[in-house]
Amino acid sequence: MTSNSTQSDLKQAGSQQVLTFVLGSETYGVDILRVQEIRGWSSVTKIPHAPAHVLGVLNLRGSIVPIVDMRMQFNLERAEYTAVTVIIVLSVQSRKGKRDFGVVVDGVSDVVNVDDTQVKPAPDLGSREATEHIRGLMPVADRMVVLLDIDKLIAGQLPNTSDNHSEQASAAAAA
Amino acid sequence: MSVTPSAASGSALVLISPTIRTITSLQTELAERLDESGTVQIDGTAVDRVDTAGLQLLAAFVRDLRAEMRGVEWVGCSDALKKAAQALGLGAALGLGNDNS
Amino acid sequence: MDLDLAQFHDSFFEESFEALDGMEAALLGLDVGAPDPERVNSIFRVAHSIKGGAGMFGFKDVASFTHTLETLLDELRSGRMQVTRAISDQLLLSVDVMRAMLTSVQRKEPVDMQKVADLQFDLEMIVAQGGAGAAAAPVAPAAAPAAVMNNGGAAGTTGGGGALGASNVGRWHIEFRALPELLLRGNDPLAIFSSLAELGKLTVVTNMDAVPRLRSMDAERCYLKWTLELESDCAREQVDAAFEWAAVDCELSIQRVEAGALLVQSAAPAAVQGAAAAALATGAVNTVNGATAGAQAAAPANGAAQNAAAAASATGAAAAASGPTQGAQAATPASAAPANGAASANGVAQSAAGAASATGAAPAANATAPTPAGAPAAAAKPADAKGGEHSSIRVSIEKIDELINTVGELVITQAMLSELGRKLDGSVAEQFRTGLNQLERNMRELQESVMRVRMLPISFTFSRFPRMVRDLAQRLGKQIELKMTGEQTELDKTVLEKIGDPLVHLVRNSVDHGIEMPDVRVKNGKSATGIVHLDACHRGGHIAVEIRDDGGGLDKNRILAKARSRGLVGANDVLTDEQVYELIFLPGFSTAEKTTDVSGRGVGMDVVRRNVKELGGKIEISSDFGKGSRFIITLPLTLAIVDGQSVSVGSETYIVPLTSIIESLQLQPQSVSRLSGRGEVFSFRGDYLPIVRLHELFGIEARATALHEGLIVVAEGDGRRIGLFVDELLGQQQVVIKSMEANYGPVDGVAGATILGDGSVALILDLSGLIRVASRTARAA
Repeated sequence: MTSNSTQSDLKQAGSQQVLTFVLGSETYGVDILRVQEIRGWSSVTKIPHAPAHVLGVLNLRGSIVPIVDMRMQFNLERAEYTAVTVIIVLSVQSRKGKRDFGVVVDGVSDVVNVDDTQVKPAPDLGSREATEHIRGLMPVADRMVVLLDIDKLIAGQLPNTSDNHSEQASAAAAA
Repeated sequence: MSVTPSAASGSALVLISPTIRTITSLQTELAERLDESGTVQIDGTAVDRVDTAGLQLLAAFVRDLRAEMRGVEWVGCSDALKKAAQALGLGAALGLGNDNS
Repeated sequence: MDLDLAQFHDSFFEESFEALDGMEAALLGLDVGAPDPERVNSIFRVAHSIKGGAGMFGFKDVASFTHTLETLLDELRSGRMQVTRAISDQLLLSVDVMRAMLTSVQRKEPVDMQKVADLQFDLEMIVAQGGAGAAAAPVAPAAAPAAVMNNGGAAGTTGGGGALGASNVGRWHIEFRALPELLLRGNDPLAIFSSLAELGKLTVVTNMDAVPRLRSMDAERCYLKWTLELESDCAREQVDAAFEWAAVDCELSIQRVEAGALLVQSAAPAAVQGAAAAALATGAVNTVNGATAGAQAAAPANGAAQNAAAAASATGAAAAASGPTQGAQAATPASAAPANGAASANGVAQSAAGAASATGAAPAANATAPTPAGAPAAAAKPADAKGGEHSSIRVSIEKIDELINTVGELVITQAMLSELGRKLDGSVAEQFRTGLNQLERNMRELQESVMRVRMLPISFTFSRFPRMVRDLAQRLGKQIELKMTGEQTELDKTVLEKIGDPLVHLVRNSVDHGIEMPDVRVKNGKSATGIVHLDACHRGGHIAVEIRDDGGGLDKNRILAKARSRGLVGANDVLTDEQVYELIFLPGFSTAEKTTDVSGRGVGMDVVRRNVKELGGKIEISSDFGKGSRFIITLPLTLAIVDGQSVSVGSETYIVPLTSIIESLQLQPQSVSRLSGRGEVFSFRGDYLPIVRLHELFGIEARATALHEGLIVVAEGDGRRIGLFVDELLGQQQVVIKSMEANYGPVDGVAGATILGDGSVALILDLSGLIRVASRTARAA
């Protein structure tokens, strides 16, 4: 792709699809190509000494997949997991390679096209870390969808995904 | 592989691969049949692999049955099973016909 | 280097290394006094083919060296020169040098040409002097120094047998009684009979008298006996060949019958080793307990009938109490590893008196040249009585792992279906369940088949020992005979690779510290030659590998004294024998009076145990002071599956590997004490074990918190024992281990996860890790 691309090229490059989901009062979007599966809530098996936001693991068609509660990441209040709670299983790229994990969300919304021209940069929240996982904000209908960079989001969430020494050290101490 | 239900009491014992690898579960099954009464039907059509352990066990089974004046009825028997039984000299013991060729 | 050729390098190296293994094995099995021409030929062919390949690829140094080697071997195989002990040693050295050379070339590193040049010069001298320059005259095997390797059955009878078969109505009358372990060692009479049937018309009469009632029989054992008549003019060797593999595990008598007359041949099958008179003369060195050691455990010569007395006198073996003694066998495993010439097979007489053994540790494929046909990576079929070539293919290990994973998931799916099936009602449900039962059987079959793909005979690991023991014994000035049995016992490739080191340790220990110097042995009424016996067999879902020696055994008092002096044991503590032996597994523990450079610090037993534990196995010791020791390693058949005990803690289910469990019990409150600095402990078999409350360790809510309301599972890991406190025991089952690390990461105390029949995930505990975590937590508290 050259820098002096035509209008249609831009559209092509910029248009991809995201799956939007609801968490609390916010709507988020993740690259549709990373979505492996969407399933209802089922009870997870706890992992000893895992961080609080790692709820446990589930059996996903034979694989052991960790399930993460994003509310803690986003500093939202804890919610009850009900029959309509949904788990989105995503595939991420980490240092170790490709891995799967699931996020607990309140509900799944539509798949929307992303138009790069419409995407606004993430707000300045004071620290880079707080917004590293946000690709940008995009208006859809009457909402703002927070577009997530899944790879960056998961770094620091699960063991062996980040270079964050303190995280690993605390994990080791807790173990 | 299909299950062949039979008209007789209970269903036929279906053999698949009576070998040393599955010998313990086969022994359990056969022991259960010993506890019952009447003729035992055995379906050996699906057997494609068998070894000495399997043949020995089956031979013991048939012998014990006969000791109780019960019989064994082969609903079907694969070539592999028959040939192996005869090669081991257990054809007659299993009720599968003459040994040796 | 031509790019096109480079892609064949890998093949060349692989095949050359395999060929060298075969050459080494053939050399070790060579009867210097009466070398088997076929064996010498096969050695020649190895050199020849490596020379050819090296020439083609431009590996000049290799080509030049192998050319010299080939020249010498040509002299030997044509009979222009005699094989001597010294020449044989030089040839073995050549193997080492060639391995080193090829390795260097393969790694594109410089070759140590000094060594090569020196040896090449020596070889050239030998050729030039027509063998005279090579020191010792042909040595009668009996006088062979140091490590006496039993060359396989120098029967000598076979010559006669062959000549006899001229008649055209001849037949072979064979009495074949399987010993119980026959099937467990991977042998099947069906295969034997089918080989025999190719030689002529075979009639089989089976005797079922010894088969117990179905309910009480051990279905894995063989209780059958056969009388076979083989109408054939084939040579005796051909009949023997059919029984090669099973020779150890049966009682066998083979007789030639001519029109009417009954001629008695030798009682036991023996492989051809060429002229055997010399061999017979060397006779057996007897030991008190009846084990026959000695260069050629002489096969019963012509006319020895198969009865205990005659056999005993012919072999000189002491009392074979319950009868049939196997003569020397050279049952050679030729198939699964034609490549590395595998290990030796031996004849061990299974007599009640235990080990009146005439043994042939004859490592080598006596038939085939070491062809690169074998495919260690793929599924080589081991129990092929003919020992010829097999069709096999090389498969990458990744493909197999993938296959195993998929099958593992199939098993889980089937388990889920079965679970669902249990909940169904109605008429169709019954048929459905029957179908599911069948599916379950199919799945188990499939799973076991697939697991077997990765399984290889333990001979791959055993094969290094003949050379090792021989060299070691020589260096130490000891006389040691190595016996190996059960080499075709199969185990998973990964386990096979990792079990090598521990075994080396243990064998070294036996050689170095177990077996005494010849004069000491004789003074104590033992034979000068000590025996180290390696054995492998299947037991249930496990492999048992045993290293036995008839050396001095473990000195309890010395061990105890040492432990006390190190403060490991209290001065007044009373320990059982078992507990004393366990002490040697403590790190740094060595009671060797002087550490030899042979095995380093003399023990390294803590490493051995750790390695074994990591494989999911365990190691046990038993010993008889003055008489010998036994080390028994038990390993799971495969790594990906574990036999586990399910336990529940609160709403969570955990799987504890059965190999880690000693016992489960319910505690009475009064048997629990609190020791300062050690927390809660309870008394178990004379020891105080700490109680680990799993719910606390893992941060779960348990149903039972009072100790007597739940159960204690006494488990061990990391060399220590604990009492694991859980709510209750659920069932025992075989589970497929799934990795936590693929998507999550390592968790201390957790070996992996598995998917239960209802689809939920249960964590599998890793006792070593768990105990470490518990200690850390306790210390922190």
